[in-house]
Formats: sequence, C-alpha cells, structure tokens
Amino acid sequence: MTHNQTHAAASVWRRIVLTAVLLLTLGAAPSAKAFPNFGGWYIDPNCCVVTGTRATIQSPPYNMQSNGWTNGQGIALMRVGLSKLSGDGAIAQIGFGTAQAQFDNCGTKSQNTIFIEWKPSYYPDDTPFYTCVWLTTFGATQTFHKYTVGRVAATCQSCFGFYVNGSLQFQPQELGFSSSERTFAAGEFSDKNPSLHAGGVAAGCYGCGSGEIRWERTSGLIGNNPSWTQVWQAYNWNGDGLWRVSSVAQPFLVCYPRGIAGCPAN
Amino acid sequence: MVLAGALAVSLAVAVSATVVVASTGSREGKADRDAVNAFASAHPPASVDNALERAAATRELPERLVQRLASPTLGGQLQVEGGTPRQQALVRAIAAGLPVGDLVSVGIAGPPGGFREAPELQEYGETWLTITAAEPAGDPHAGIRALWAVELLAGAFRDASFLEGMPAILGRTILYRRQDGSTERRGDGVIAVPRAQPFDPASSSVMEARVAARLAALEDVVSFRLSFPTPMNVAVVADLTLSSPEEFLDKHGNALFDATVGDASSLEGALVKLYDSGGKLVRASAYAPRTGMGFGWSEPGLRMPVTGRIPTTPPLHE
Repeated sequence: MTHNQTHAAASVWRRIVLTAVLLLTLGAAPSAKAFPNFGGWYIDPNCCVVTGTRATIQSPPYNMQSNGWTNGQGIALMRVGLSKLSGDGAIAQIGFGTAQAQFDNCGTKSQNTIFIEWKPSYYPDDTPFYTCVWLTTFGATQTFHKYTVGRVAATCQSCFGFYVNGSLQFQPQELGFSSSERTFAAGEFSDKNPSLHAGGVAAGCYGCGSGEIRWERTSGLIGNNPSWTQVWQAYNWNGDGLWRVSSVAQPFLVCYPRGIAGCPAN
Repeated sequence: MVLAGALAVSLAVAVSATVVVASTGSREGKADRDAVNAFASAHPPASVDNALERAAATRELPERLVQRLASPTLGGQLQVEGGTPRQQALVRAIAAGLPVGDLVSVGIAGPPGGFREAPELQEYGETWLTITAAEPAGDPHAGIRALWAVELLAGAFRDASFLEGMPAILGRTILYRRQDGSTERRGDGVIAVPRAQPFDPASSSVMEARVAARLAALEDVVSFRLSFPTPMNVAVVADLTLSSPEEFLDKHGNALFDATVGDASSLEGALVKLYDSGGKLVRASAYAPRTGMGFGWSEPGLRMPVTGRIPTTPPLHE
C-alpha cells in the first residue's frame, strides 16, 4: 500500500463516521436546501493538484429523466467537473442532461442537451447562485462527446474554460478558486426535497465511443497543451446505493437505477 | 423511523465509500466490462438534430423589427463599431426594443483567441459580438437586467442575421461597465442553440393579459409590475412584491418561470424579480433562450429553491 493509499484509507473511515453523523442530522431535522443524488467517482487533493479534468461521455439510448418526490420533476445530469468544498460553493462543470424542473435559471429541457454551469464570484456575500448555459441539443440516442473543463491562463487564477470535443465553448471569469478540491466524473439527480432518494433514469459511459478520452486530470493550463493523467484511483460516489458505477478501471459505466434495462444489477 | 431510515442510508453510503484500485481480472471486473460493452454497442450514434434550423428556412423577421430597420435613427444612443452598415442597422433595430441605457456599446468583429466554428455542434460563423452593459446607479443587483439585455441582443442578432442571410454569429463577449468607469470582462462564449426557433409570437398586449392573469392567481403576490422588451419577439420583465418570499419560493421555487411568466423557453426572454413587502429585492432570475444562458442573484440566507444547484456539501463532505 502506497503512502497515498494509506492516507486515503484513513480518510475513508473519517468519511464513514462523518457521513453517518451528517445523515442522522438530516434525518432528524430535514433541511430546506436542495439535496442531490450523486453516482460516480471523485478524487480530492489527497491525490494531487487538479486544475482541469476531461472525459468522453457517451449518452444513453434515451433521454434521461429525474423523478423528484414532490411533483415528479427534477434534473438529471451526467458530467465532469471541478469544485471547491469550502466557502461559497464554487464549481465548474460540463456534460449533458435534462431538466423536468427549472435548471438554475435556465428553464427546462426534455432532450439530452449539453450544458455548462459555474458559479461566478461577483457577489462575495450572496447565496450561491449559478450561471448555466444550454448548448447543443443532440437528441436521445447514443452520442459521445469529449467534455473538458479547466483553468486557462496563468495570468488569471480563477478563469476557466469549458470545451466540447476540444472546441472552446465558454470562458467565464472570476470563479473564485484556482485548483479543485473535488474533481468528479459522475451523474446527478436533484430535487428540492431534503431527500437522497430523488431519482429517475440516467446513464453515461465515461471513456466510451470512438476517439474516446478516458477520465483524466491535469495540473496544467488548458490551451497550453498540458499533460493529462488518467484517473486510476478514486472515491466511489453512490448517494442512495442504487447507482451502478463500474470499476474506475476505464472505461466505466454510471447508470441508475441498477437493474433496469442497460444498467446491470451487479 | 426517520432515524432508522437515515442510519440504513448511512450504512449504504458508508459501504460505498471505498478507495478502489483498478482491477480487471475479477468477476466484478468482467461484469463491468460486459456492462460497458453492452452500453457502447446498443445503438449507433446519431447526428446532431438541426431540424429546427431547417424549419426556419421560410421564417422571416418579425414585423416590428422590419419597421425599425426602416427608421435608421432608432437606437442612436448605442455605440456600434465594426461590421457592415446593414449589420449595424440591425443591431440598432434590435437594441431599440431594449430598455434605454442598459447597453453602452456593441462591437462586431472576429472571435477572440481560442474560439472557432464547430458546425457539428451547431456553432457557425466567424463573426463575434462584444457587448458592454452598464451598471445602473443605485442597487448594484439591478445590473442583472443590463446583463440580461446583453444576452437578448446577442441572441436576437444571431437569429436575425440567420434569417437575413447575413454572416453567421459565433458568439459574444460580455463586458460590464461599472459606475466608476472601470470595465469588467464577465466572459466569452459561443452560442450553440438552434438558430431562429419559433418563439411565442404574441404581441405585448396579449402577453400582458396572459401574464397578469397568471400573477393575479398567485395568492402570495401583493402587487406586480410588468414590462415587455421587444428585441425581436416579446420578452417579459416581472417585478413581484410578495407577502412572504420564503413561502412563495417554497411553493414555486423550482418552477419560478412557469409559475409567473409561463414557459420561459418559448419566450424571447424572462426576467423575474422578487421583492419583499418592504420593497427590498430578494431574488432576480434571468433567462435568455436564444443564447441558452440563465443567471441571477439571491439575497444571502434566502432559501435556495431551484433544482439543479450543485451543492458543494456532498454526502461525504469532511
């Protein structure tokens, strides 16, 4: 076991205890905030410094759907991203998804649609509020695109670029962080309810498709032709235990719920 | 019961929280490979669907925009640089339907470094807009309307250019001029939604009657004020005074546009601002379907009602 693995294993036990405490707290006093249901893989700074991440993600042969508890509406996403765990909720992520409910301030989408999302830091004291952009709607059938997000310039500590198939899509300013504290390749359902059980149907295959890029990370600057490292070791994310997340030995499948067509039970 | 349920979920999550090292020789590894292979080979990939753009081939500019183009003095306060006289006239005609003073200038030129045409993503053209919004005096959050106007202008100009056979618009740069004269670069981005979608053709008066009826039926709405910018079709600005913003957002927060102005995706744009009974702005939500961008502001501490947030306090947060 390497030093990193030893460190990570100790970290896992801390997480287990803290997770139990957190969830017991939530069960006793439901929060009014939105609670998502994540499934996939993530890495943290114990692994490495990360300023960018990318993967080819193949979409499922259907439009994803989220079934929230309140009114049968929510959002379903499949994406890669970078985030900061502390402070104001900084995040930068790109992928595809559908929204039966309003996605941030971006309205709804019934077809799998490429999206990007970030939180600007223009208002340092406000409640985190995210900027979203819908890009190309590419339909229901299996399409694969390479999604990349990362820092773009040495002169700007918190300027990030979002790319699809290597083509720059958006370059927002002032995201409020320079390296990622949680780097992920994961699916998400979200609903406004204080529940981990918001669900629906979702799937993505990371590293699948022609010209595929496996899930990778970099500590360089996108656009400067940085070196990329495939992620071989990660934390498993399974919000309610119903996600099917295959081995991080890539390519890997993330789907929900396990056991339905195209999403093996084991 | 709640406690037991939470504990069960805790254990399920705890079990899943493991560090996994790549392994390909186990039974699980074979199942994983089978699952991936089955997923990857189930269906052939499809090409990008541009049926909406094909359907727009016979569409024309709205009459209001045609009439404005015939009045070249309109939009004269806006500084427009670059492009052809026809493009500049079109920018002014669109801007004439937006609140005066929200926009300072528009530049028409090539894209900034790093951006390029990508037809496979419905991103066409080599023409780029640089649009400067103006921070209004007073409430700094009122600038959301000006930034929304940037998106309305960019989206309308892109679609109108498409309908008029002008050079395709690849994207826009968003600049924000502060009251102190400084200018911030808020971002650069391509626009990758199908061009010239069939947005709601209703007139301002029809839209007003429709939205007013919707708002009058909401019990938490004490009063409202409506306005209707018309960059191309009709967009809606709704200022709502609420008896209890918290209760209102609890009921309508995850479908705010649907509840207040209707299906925002079919509108030219939607901007909904919520005020408490003391007249204080507590939330602003803006969406511009022609560019696909939505953004907003919320008062600190106000409940985050909208689905789709990505909390940074995930289940395994330390």
